[in-house]
Amino acid sequence: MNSKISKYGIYAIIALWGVACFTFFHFAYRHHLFYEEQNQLFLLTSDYVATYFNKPAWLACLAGDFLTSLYYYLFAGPAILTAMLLVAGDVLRRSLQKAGIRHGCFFVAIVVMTILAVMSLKTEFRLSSIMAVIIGGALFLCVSFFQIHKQPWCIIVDVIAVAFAHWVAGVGAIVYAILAVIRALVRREPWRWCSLALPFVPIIISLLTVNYYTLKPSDSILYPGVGKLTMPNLELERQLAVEDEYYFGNYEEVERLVESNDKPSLHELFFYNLVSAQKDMLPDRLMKYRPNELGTFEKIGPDTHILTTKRMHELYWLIGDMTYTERAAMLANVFSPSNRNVKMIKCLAETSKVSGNDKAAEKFLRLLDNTLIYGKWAERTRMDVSGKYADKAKMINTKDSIKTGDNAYPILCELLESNPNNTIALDYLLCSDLLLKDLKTFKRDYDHFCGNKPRLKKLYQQALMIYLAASETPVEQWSEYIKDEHELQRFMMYNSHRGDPAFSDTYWYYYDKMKLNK
Amino acid sequence: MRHRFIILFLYVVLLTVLVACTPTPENVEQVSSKPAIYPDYTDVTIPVNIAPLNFLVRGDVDAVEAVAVCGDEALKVNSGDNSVCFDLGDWKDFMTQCEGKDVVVSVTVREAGKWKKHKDFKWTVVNDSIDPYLTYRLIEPDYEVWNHLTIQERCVENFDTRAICHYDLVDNRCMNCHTYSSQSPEKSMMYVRGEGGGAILNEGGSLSKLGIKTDDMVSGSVYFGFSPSGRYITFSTNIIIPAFHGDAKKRMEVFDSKSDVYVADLETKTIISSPLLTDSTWLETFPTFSADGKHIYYCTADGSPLQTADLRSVKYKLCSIDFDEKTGSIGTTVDTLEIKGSVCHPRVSPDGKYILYTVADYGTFPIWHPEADLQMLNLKTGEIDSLAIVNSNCSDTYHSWSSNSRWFVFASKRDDGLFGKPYFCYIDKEGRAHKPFALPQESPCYYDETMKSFNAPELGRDRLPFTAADVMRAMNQDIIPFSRGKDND
Repeated sequence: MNSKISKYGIYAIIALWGVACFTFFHFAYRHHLFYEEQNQLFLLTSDYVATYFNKPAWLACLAGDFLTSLYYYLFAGPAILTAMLLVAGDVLRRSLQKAGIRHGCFFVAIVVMTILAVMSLKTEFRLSSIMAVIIGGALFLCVSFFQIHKQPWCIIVDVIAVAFAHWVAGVGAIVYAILAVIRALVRREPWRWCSLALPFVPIIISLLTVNYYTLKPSDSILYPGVGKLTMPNLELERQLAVEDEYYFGNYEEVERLVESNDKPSLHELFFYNLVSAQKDMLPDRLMKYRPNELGTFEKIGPDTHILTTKRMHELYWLIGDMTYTERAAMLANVFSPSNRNVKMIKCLAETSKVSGNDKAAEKFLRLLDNTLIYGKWAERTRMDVSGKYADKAKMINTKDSIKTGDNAYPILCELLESNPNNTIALDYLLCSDLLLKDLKTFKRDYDHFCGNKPRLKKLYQQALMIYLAASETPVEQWSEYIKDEHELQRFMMYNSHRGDPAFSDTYWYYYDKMKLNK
Repeated sequence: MRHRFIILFLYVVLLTVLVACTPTPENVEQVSSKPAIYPDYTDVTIPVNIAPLNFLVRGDVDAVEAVAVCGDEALKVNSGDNSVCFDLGDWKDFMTQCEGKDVVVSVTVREAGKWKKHKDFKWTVVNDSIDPYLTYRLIEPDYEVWNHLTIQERCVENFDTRAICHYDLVDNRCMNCHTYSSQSPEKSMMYVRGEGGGAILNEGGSLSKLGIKTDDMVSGSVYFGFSPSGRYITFSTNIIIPAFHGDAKKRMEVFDSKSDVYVADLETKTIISSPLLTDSTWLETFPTFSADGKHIYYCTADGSPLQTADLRSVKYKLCSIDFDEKTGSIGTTVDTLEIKGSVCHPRVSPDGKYILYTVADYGTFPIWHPEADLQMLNLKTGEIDSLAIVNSNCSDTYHSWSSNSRWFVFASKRDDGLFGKPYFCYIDKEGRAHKPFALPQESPCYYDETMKSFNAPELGRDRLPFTAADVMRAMNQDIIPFSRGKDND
C-alpha cells in the first residue's frame, strides 16, 4: 500500500513538473521557442533529409528539427518541449532501473529533466540534444530488453550499440555508454572492467570520422551539443515578444507591450518606432523614450549584435530600400544556425518580388513551398493578389547611385528624391537629424523635402524654433515655419525656465539636457 | 526456409507494386515546344566522362518518361514525379557507346492527367574528356560578410563530393579560392584567413602554411596563379571595399581602393616586385602566367576616378609584362591589349592559344554585374570571340581551363541572378564555343534547395592528395615567412 502511495506520489510530482514546465514555457518563454523555429528552415524533401547524414546524430537532429519546425503553432512549442523532457526523464528512469539501480531512479530522472529544461532556456540549445538523450537511453533499453548482459559477448554488443548511438544520436552515445557502465558495475557483469572502456568508443569514432563528418573530435562527441545552465532571460523574452508581434502585424500589441514597460529596451523601441511611423506618429512619440532607437545609426557586419542584425531588414523594408533590405536579410540569414532563417528567406522572397527579380523570388518561394508551414504563404506571395508588392515597388529607390557603407542618411535622401510622398522615410530622416541634435542638417532637409508641403508636427515645430532662435532669424519670418501658436507660447515659457523637467516631453528639453548616444 | 520464401514473396510483391506504380505514357499528345527542363540541358555539348545529366521538368508535371537514344543504344527513365535521374552505371555504359555522337533525348510528361511528348533535344557527346575534379568555394551570395564557408572537391564523373577545407575544422575562418598549378593535384594553394591564417600550399599532399606578405604590401595576397613550373606564383594585393547600388537589381558593387601585383618564389620564399606592377596611382590586379611562363597577364586601371568616387569610370585594361622563370625577373615594358570595357580574371588556356576573360561595363567585381560576360582572345590572330552562345543576361565569370584546353568551367548566375553555379563549356578544335551546361547533381533538386553560391570553380586532373583534416592540422604549423627578394627597376 505504502509503495503504491509513494508511486502515485512520484507520478503526481512528475505531472506537476510537467504542468509547471509547460506553463513556464508557454506563458513566460514561448517567444524564445518561436525564435528557435524561425532560426531554421526544415524542408520536407528527401534531399534535405539526406543532409542530416552528413553529421553524427542524424536521427536526433532530424526528429528534433522537425519538431522544432512545429513550434510555429501556439502551444506547440511548450507542449512538445515538455513532452520530450518527460519522455527523456521516463527513458532515463527506466534505463537506470534496467541497469539495476533500485532506488532514486525517479529522483535522478527529475534532476536530469530539470537540467535539460534549464539548458533549454538558451536558444542555442537544440531540441535535438534532448532527442539525443532520449535515443541514447531508448537504445540502451532495447539492448537491455534482450538480456544480452548475461551473455559473455555483451561487451561487443555494447560497443556496436555505442557506435550506432553515435551515428544516430551523437551525444546519446555517451548516455548509452554511461548506462552500460552503470549496468556492468551494479550487476557485477564478468566483463565489467572492460565496459569502463565504452565511453572511449565515441572518442575513437570521432577521431576516425574527422574527414567524414568534418567535425573536430570534441565537437563530434558532443554533437548536436550540450547546453549550459543558465537563468531565464526574461528581458530577451520581452524583446522577442515585441519583435514577434510586429512580425505578425499585431501593432496594437507592440504598443501595449512597449508602453507597459517603464524602460523599454532599444530593441523594443526599434519596433515601436516602426509601428509609430506607419501610424504617422513617429515625430509625436520620438521624445517619449530616451535613449531612443530608430535603427538609422546602426551598421551591420560580423561584429553586430545578432538581434540588431536580425531586425534591420524591417527598417529598410519599411522605408522602401530593397538593396539594403536584401542585404540585411541575407546577413541575418548567414548568421543564423546552419545559415538558414525562415523569416529572412520570406523577406528575401518579398524583396525580390518588389525589386522585380522574379527569378530570385521564385528561388526563395520554391524553398518555402517545401516546408510544412510556409507553402501557402509562398503561394499567396507568388500571386500577390492584394497588390502589396506592386504597391511597395512604387516606393523603392530609383536612383542609380553607388554608396559605400550603410549610412542611412543618403539612403533616406535618395528614397525621398525617388518618391517625395514617402512620409515614413521623411520622418526617419528628420527624426534622425533631431536625435543627433544636428539642427543645421534638419533645417536643410526640412526645407528640401517639406518646402512645398510643410510637415506640421509638434516635434519639428519645436526643433525649428530652436534653429530660428539660434540663427537669430527675425521674428516676422518665423511665421513662415511656425504655425503652432501654442507651441510658440510654450517655447517662450521654456526659455525662461531652460532645463525645467516640466518640459521633459519637448525637443527643447532633449536638446538642452540629453547626452548624445555614442 | 519457410521464412525465406515469405521474404522473397514480399520482395517480389513490393517490386511488382513499384513497377506497376511507375507511370508510363499512353494516349500521348505531341507538343511543338521543347520541355522546360532544369538545369537547361537542351542541345548542349558534353564530355564523355561527365556524370549523369539528371534534370527536373518544371511545371505541374507529376510523371515523366525520358528516353535518350544514340544509334541502337537507348537509356530510359520513368519517373513518378518531375525528376529524371539516370542510373550511374547505365549512364557510363551509354556514354561509352555514344562517344563522338549525338544523343537524341525525348521527354514525355504527364500534366493534369494528360501525357504530352515534347520536341526532342540533343546532347552532343565529345570524346575530349574534361578534367575529372572540380574545386569550388560554397558561400552565400553576399561576399561582403561570410559565415560557415567550405571549399569542396567534386568528381564530375560521378557525384562524389568532399570538403577539402571546412569551417568546422578551421574555427569558422574565411577561406579563399583553391587554385591548382597547371591543373595538377600535386601542387595547389588556397588561403585560410584570420589570425594565424596563411596560404596553405599543397606539394604532393604535404601541406605548409605560407605568409606571402611583406610589410610594405597593401594587404596579403588575394588573386594568384602559378607559373607553369610551379616554382612561382604571381599574385595581387588588394584593399577591397564593398559598396551598394541604389537600384536593387544591381545590388552590390565591390572595388579596390589600392592594388598591386607581385611574384613570389616558392623555392627561396622571396617576393619579387617591379615598379611597373606597383604603381600607387594605378590599380593592378588579376595576374596570371602565360602557358609558357614567359609573360604575366594582368589587369590595370587608372585609380584617379576613385578620388571623386566615380566608380563607373574605373575600367581595367588587359596588359602583359615579360617574366623570366630562370632568373626570376620581371620585364621592363608593359604591353596593353585593346579591349572594350573593364577586363577581369584573364586566364590563359594551357595550350597557350587563348585568353579567356570577363568584361564588365566597369569595375573589378563582375560577380555582381549582370552585364559581365566572358570573352575569348585568340593569342595568335588577335581575334576576340564574344562567346554569345556561352553568355547570359546575368553575371558569367570566374573561369578556369581544363588541362586539355577543350573545356572551361565558369560561375554563372543565369538561373536566378543571385546564386552562382558552375557551367562547363566546350571549345572545339576550330576554337568554336558550344552551349554550356551546369554541373550535374545526383538530385536535380539540389540547386533549388541550396542556399550556397558556387564560387571560384577550378578544374583539376586528379583527386587532391590531402583532406580537410590535413588542412586543420596545417593551420597549427608555424607560418613560413616571405622576405623581399630582388626588385626590378
